Amino acid sequence: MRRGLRAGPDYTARGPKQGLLRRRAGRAAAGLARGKGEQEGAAMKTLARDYKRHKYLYFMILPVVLYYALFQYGPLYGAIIAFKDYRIAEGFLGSPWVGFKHFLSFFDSYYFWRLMKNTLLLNAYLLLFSFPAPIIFALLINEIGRSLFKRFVQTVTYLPHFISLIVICGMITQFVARDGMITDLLVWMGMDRTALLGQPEYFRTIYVVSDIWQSVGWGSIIYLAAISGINPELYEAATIDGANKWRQTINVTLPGILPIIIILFILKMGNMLEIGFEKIILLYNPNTYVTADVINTFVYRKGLGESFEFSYATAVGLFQAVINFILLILANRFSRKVSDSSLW
Amino acid sequence: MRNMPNKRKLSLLLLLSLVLVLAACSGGNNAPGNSTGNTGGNAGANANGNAGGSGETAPVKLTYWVAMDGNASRSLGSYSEMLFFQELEKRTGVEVEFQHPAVGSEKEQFNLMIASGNLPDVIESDFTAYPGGPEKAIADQVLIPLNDVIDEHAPNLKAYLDEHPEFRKEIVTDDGTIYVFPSIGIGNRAVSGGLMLRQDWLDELGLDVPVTMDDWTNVLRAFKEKGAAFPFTARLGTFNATNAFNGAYGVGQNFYQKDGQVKYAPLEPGYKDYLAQLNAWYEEGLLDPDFATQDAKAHDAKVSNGDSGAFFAYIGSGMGRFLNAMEGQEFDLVGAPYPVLNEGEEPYFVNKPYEYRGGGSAGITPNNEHVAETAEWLDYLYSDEGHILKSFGIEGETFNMVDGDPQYSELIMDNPDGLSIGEAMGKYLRVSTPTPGLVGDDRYAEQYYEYEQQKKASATYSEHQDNADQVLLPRISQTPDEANELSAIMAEVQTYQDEMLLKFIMGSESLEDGYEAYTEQLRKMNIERAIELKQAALERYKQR
Repeated sequence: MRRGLRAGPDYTARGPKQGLLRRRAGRAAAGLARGKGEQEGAAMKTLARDYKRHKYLYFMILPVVLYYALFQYGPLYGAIIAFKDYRIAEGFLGSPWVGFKHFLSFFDSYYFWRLMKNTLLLNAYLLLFSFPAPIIFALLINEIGRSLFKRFVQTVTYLPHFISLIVICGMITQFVARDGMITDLLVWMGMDRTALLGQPEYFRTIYVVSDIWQSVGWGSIIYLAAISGINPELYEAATIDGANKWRQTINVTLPGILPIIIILFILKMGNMLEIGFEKIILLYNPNTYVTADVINTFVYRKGLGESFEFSYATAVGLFQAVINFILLILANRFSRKVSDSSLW
Repeated sequence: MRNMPNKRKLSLLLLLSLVLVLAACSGGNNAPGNSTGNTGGNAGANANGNAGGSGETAPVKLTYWVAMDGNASRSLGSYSEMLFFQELEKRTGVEVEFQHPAVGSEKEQFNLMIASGNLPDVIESDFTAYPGGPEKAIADQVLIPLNDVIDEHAPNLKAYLDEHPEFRKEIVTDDGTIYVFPSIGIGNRAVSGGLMLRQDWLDELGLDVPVTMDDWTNVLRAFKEKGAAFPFTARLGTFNATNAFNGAYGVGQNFYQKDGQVKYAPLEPGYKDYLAQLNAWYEEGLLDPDFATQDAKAHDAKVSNGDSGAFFAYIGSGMGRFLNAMEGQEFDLVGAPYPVLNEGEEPYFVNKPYEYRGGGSAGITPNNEHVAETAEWLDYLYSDEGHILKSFGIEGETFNMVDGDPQYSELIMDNPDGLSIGEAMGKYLRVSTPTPGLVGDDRYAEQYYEYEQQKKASATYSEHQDNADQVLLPRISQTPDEANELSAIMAEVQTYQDEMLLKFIMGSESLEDGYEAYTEQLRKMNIERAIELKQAALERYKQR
């Protein structure tokens, strides 16, 4: 058993500056990761003592360590097929090396810039509109005194989160069809009647607005939890100082949940090149490719083409991961400089 | 237990787990004993009753990987429960253990099976879609070449192949290797879908079923005047996955052949006229403007509520369902022939499936230790007797002989459990989807189509089905390197073509000004190289 435990720190303690995932795993193995490099010997002793004392705690963390080792780090070696022409029968190791062929073929693609632009723009809009929505919603909900009404509103807004994406997209399709509810509303406001999903200029709006609808309630939970953690004395002090509700919200509540906001923001930055593409696949059509086609959907279509493109898809995935990783680091660094709070 | 000392507790626990382990082991021992008992019994029955099987040797037990047909999985947990397979086992003495992938993840599980190297004795799948082609499946040690096996152990299939040399070409690789026991399409009713119109409207307006494109324009205009909001409704697939109207202009959807040369439709002159016609219909309000976005439900609703009077659909799933749903109301459908440009011409681009269906074909893996017996077993399906068993089942149970023709019994046609014809067929037989053996028997198609209109439509659509052989690309196969190159080119081309098709139809891109640039861009995307690759494969096909 001790051997199994030792595998944890070896994995996570390779370098001092590690990525987020490694960090997390490192933290999961927190007690173990103390020993590094030259302190190995001393660390072993500490570890042994620690192990004796907290046997059961170690036992409890074992599944987590195993999970990360088996399912998060283990499969990483498969990423080498990004540099190979992977063929099923020859396996990961047997397939021939091709260097950066798949990366270059993606970069050279006629649609590369459009895909980048669509992916980034859609994410930027999400960040701009969908990200703050739960924060504002949580602040508003927090001000509702009557708890029955509050609970009702919360329940109603959580609901879309539990509906399957297929159903959600089916509903969206119906709502914005030529004779859909939302189309009717817009026509009443003076728009020409048309199927909104057929018009490329509406795609991003539909995507972002429906995303807010889907996630605002669920997303607000974490902020509400953070708000309830704020020391009530702060509000009392503010009231004594003569601050009205608005002032209290701006100067007490918001700063109180700022660390959470920043953490979620940074995590979001680590996803800038990816997007919930299942939803796009369910909503787009060739006429809206011009705004809706993102990296993942393009790769998906290509994968269904003449042959399975495992290597190509892996190469694109790796490219996305690297960019995401860089964005994450930058966002974290930026946030540490500006606001003193950061992921690490 | 509370006062028990810890050690006692522990030993109790150990004891308990020991008992459990023992129970599991003995259970494991039991199972093989049982199954040998079973196979022994079957072998005996076989030796007595049937001289065809390899009676005297040890009973053959095969593992068989096959994705379950949706209609079957509604009432069966495994093909071993299917009447057809149970009877087949009785007749041949070969016991089969089925391995079914989960519905919906057949492709992934196929890949997993290949990657794991843990192969069953027989795999039934579509090996024309195997990454890198069927040749690769042999090179990958997934399939064994079957030429000699079929010569020696599959007299029925061999006879069929000898009689149909053109068909033989379809199922072999470029170097002449046979890799599966194919699913062979027979019958003269192969075309299962086409254009349909409201017969009652045509009657009311005193119009004939349209034949030429001009007829179509007239009929759609008349429908519009009559009050149909969207005379012709469609879905995206109507214009990029089926040959609805393009055939009238002498072009396919993508790649096709003309006089032995591979063509790519958008580069051919007829294609522009085709788009111009669709665009004209769109501008005139004859074509449903929502065709690109609507789902099947919205499409079908427009048909059944009278917003639309013409559309493309399949005889079974489309026409049959509409007629069934609208029974008792003023609603009647008719299948229109594949349209042509001028009176007297014949359509060439009809949606005819390949005679070699591809899917539902069984390959033997290198793991199989009973190759000869397996071949004999599969070959039975190509015999008359086996074909009847597979397609019609057991006489007196699922069919009756009427004037020498098998007629499905009530169990199929009016199932007591309330199953539809398709579902009942799926439960007892392997007839409505491709399987090893012969499929698409006219005697089956006749009965599968419930309504008179369906039977008529089937005849109309299939009238010129043989013309399709001249224009559709045969089952050519690309080498792995070619396939890689093709997919790199086609990923972009397909995106571009899909996008521009809609723009031209909807008029957001003008055909007059934009078409030149469109073909230019396709050339820049290397479409000509793609044509070359297809041509090379076609040449190899001709040499087979």
